[in-house]
This record gives sequence, structure tokens and C-alpha cells, in this order.
Amino acid sequence: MSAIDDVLAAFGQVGWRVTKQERVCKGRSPNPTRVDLARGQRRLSLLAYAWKLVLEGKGRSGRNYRVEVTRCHEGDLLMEAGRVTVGFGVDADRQVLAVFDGWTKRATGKSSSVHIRRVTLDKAAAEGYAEEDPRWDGRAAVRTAEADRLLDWIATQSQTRLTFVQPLDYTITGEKAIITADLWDAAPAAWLRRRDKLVLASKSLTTLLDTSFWEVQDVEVRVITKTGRNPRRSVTFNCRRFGRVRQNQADFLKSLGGTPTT
Amino acid sequence: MTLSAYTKTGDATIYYFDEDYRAAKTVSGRHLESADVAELTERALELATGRHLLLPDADALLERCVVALLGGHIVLQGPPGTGKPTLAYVLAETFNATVHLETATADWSTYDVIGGLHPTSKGGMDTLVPWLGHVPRAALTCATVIARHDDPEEEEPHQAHWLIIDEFSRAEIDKAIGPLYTVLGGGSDNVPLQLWFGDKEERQAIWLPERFRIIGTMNSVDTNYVYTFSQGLSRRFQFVYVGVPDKTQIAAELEQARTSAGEWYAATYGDEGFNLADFVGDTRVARASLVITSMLEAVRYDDAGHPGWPLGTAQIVDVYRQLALRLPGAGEDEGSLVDALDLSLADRIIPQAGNLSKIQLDTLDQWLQAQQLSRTKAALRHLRAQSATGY
Repeated sequence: MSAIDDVLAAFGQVGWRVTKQERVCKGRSPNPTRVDLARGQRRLSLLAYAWKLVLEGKGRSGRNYRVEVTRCHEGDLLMEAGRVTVGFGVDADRQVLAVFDGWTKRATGKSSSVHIRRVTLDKAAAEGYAEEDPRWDGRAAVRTAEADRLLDWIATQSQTRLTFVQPLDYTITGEKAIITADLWDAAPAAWLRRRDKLVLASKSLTTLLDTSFWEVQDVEVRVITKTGRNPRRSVTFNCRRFGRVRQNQADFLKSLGGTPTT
Repeated sequence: MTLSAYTKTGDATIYYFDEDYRAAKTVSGRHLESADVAELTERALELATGRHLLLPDADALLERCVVALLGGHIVLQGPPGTGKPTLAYVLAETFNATVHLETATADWSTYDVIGGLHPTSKGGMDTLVPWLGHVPRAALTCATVIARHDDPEEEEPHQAHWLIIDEFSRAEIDKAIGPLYTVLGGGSDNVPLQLWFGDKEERQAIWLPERFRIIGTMNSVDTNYVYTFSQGLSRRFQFVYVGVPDKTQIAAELEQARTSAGEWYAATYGDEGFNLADFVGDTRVARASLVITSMLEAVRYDDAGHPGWPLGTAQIVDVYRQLALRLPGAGEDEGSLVDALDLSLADRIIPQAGNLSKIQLDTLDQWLQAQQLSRTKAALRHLRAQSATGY
């Protein structure tokens, strides 16, 4: 049985009916699979990736867990209109399911991993449900027998996001801005999608670079390769000004999360 | 924290309200910036002239529109082809308002005007989501323009955004717009428009900005296809009649119509050989214009106790367009375009005479008897026979 079957079986146990289960690729790998779930009037359409959770490998503490994000296709994790891309991790030992936002982790390399803390899994096993910060790279975990408790977290991923971005570069022209950030080093940048809102923050995260709120109108990821260095990914946001921060800029920035450095 | 939480504390201002309609209340109380009727009327006149809009008794007409808009919403009514939508754009520009136009149809309901629920997939869930109708959507855009206009850093020159509803009477507007009665009332009670379909508290009501206006346009001739209005709705919109140009304006009107038709031809099919000034001043076109002038003088106006047929300028432009298309094939002598005019009148003007009364048709017939327009005469005979027999 594949991990995706485990996930669907868990939802089946709590009353959700699988109305569609269709692998995107022909072949052995079920990652990703189009999944439609139904319960009463509720419907849920996912593009689901699922893997077994394993202990982290060498170079890590060895105490936490990861999924190795293997898939049937080249390139980034897929997104499809009308479906939420989510990644599941199956912890058979604890009888726990973990989940992460596929959009945020879309640009993981083909053989890279998504990590999940042991404490998150332990808490889910003990209390039924647990969430892991930061919110722009969050995880949730739940007892397999209470799988439907993940649905609120999954639904939350569709809400408009507001965060800071520490740009590599930005250009403001009238009410428009083009903002570029490192996809991996400027964490919230990977989290943002069309219609989400951002402010520009300094490297130290202590001041705003500009008083505007920017609404993301388009997102483009580029691979930048420099000789002798590993390729980097940058994300460029085409934005329009959505509003302005009028006062208490420092408090405002602080409330968005992140840890200022001096 | 959500953005609206920051706007409530005053720590932030936002310019777009589609996620939180209530936040638009902060700017909804702003009134139009100027009530200088003379200045606004003068500006409207300049803009109308700039757009080659020929209006009868233009000063008075525009002044009435300006005064009406300072007080609320208006409906421009009049015969087809008199430039009502163009006038609506002119009026919006006069007040420094951006504008967009929606065309009403007989299918309009409260769903189109106010909004409702429509099915979609959101966050992977098949669900019903709010769909904002034309009026609240335009009102939100208006709030955005006001918010940006208020902020000197934004350099937004416009003070508002308005909605033009063309063919206002095609819709059963009284029914479709009914829920707006209270908020369009223009009274002192500032109440929001309740949106029963709002999925969240912040999207269940919307304040129409005081600067927001609706300009309806409707044909007063096309009565076979229009719905009538209740007194309640009529009270919420001031009706302004936009008629055809006066008799004294015909020469200027035809010159403008020739220019418009020539511009259309140049933009659509013109090549280097086509010269707009040559077309406008062409003696063959001028000869045809004499016939058109004669027709308008004879049939358009309420003379000798009989009602006229208020042919609009747009219909005359249509005739000139056909003349522009036929001109390359016409002969060189001055009267060589009259046959082309005959066909154009038969095809573009006579079919629109279907709603005319017997006395109006008789007047047209009488004028035709004195003209060498055999195809137009035949077209009119056919139209009358069709009315009488159904064939």
C-alpha cells in the first residue's frame, strides 16, 4: 500500500468518501495524485503528494523526521487550478499524519526533503493535533483516526497571506513594484501567491524599506546560476500598491513575525 | 492579524476593498469636491465640443445634467443616436470621475445588479462564493479611487468612479434594482446596502460612496422593448431628455457626421489614397448632404402640429459611412452619389421607421415624392405593406 492509500484510508475512516483518485503520471509513482473527497455537502479537491516519514539522515540531529520529496515528474511540485497541492507524511509508528503546503515547498529540488519536528509528531500523537511554526513554512499533524482535523488547516492555506519580504532588489514605478527575493533564504517569499500582500523589510527586519503594502499580481521563479556556485532560485513579484502603513511601523513589522537582528 | 485589523487601529490605510467591503466606509462619506455649477457646466461644454457632440440647447441641457448629478443619479433619455452614452462619458469626465459602462438586458435580475452566489472551487472545496453585481462592484472601485485620491502620495487625479448603465430600460430595472432603493434614496440616512450572500461579516454590507453616481441611458422611442419604471425608481433618478440637434444645427451636425464617417473609413479601410478633408469637402458628398438636410428638415421636427421623427445623428453617420464605402465606385459628376444615398437611406434609415405613426410615415412619404430616390420609396412602400399585412 502506498502512502497515498494510507492517507485516503485515514479520511475514509472518518467518513470522507473518495470520489476520485487519479495518478497524474502513468507508472509506479503515485506522486502526485488527484484526489476528490466528499462528505455530505462538503467537497475537497487535492493534488496530493504523500510519503512515509523517516528519520533525518546524516548531518542532522537524527531526532527529527523528514519526507524525501520524490515525484513522478521533473521540476517543481505541481499546482492545478481548483485543487490545493498538499504534501502528506505518514508516520505509521505514531499513527499520525503530517501535512505541509505544497505551494510553499514547490521549489524543493528533486531529491530534497521536507522536515518535520519530532515534537510536532509527538504532540499530535498525544493531543490529537499539532501545528508547527513559522506560519510561512508551517506543518500540521494529526492522529490518523482524526484525519479530518487537518481540513481546517488545509482550508486556511487558501486565505490571503500578509507578510514581509526582505528583497534582493526592488523597483517602484508609480503604483507598481517589481520585487525580487531569494526563494530559499528569504523564507516568507516562497509562501506568497497571487493576491497575497507583502511589505518590504530591511535585512535586519527592524525597518520597512517602503511604507506600502504590496499586492502580488504575478509570481515568477527564476534559477540563477553563477560559475562555481550552486544554482540559486529567486522569486520575482509583480505587485500593485494596496495601501500604506501609516504609523507604528516597527510594531507593525514585528506583528508579522520573524526575528529582528541587530 | 488581518489587514483590516491594522486599518481599524489607523496603523494602515488600504486602497482596495474587495476583501473587506466594510473598510470602504472610511471614504464613503466624502462628497463631490465642487458644486460650482457654472464652472462644471463650462467644463462639460468644452468636453462635449471636444468630442464633437452636438446637443440641442447645449448650455441648458448640460447645466441640468450637472445640477442633477450634484444631487444624485440621472437617466439620460431620448431618441436613439443622440449621443447619450457619449454624453454620459462627458459628464463623468466633467466631474473627474472614471467610469465604466454596462449594458442592461432583459435578463438582468438582482443577481446582475446587486450580486449573489455562484459555484466555484475555492481552496479545493466546491463551494458557493459571493459574486458582486455591477452596482456594488462599481461602488467598491469608486471607494478605491476616493481612497487613492485622498492620499497625496498616490497622485490619483480622479475623485470618483461612476457606473453607466446603457439601455437602462431594457432590463426590468425596477425589479432588479429594487434592493438599492434605500441606499439610492439620497436622504440623510446613510445606510449600507445589505449583501445577503456575503460569506464573511466584513462582506455582508457595503456603503455606496456619496460620490458614487449611476448614469442610465435609455431610448424613449423604442417602447416595444422597454420596461416602465415605478414612481419610486423615478424619484431616485432625475430624467434628462436628450433630443436631436435643432434645425439651426443641421449644417454643423452633418459636417460632424461626415467627419466621423470619414474617420471610421480611414481607420478601418483607408489607405494612403484616402484623405479625410477631401471626403468631408467632396462636392458629391455635399450634394448628397443637401438631400439629407432636406429630409431632416422635412421629417425630423414637430412642425405644423404633427409629431416629427427624431432621427439621431448616429443614424446619419451610418448613412455617411455607406457613402464613404461607395464613393470610390461613384462617377465624377456632382450628382453621382445620389444613387448611393438612395440605397443607404433605403437600407439604414427606412428600416428604423417601423415604429412610426401613420402621420409620421405620411410626412416621410410626402417628402420622398419630391425626391429622385426610387429605392428609398420602394423600401418605404415595403415597410408600410409589411406593417399592414405582416409580409
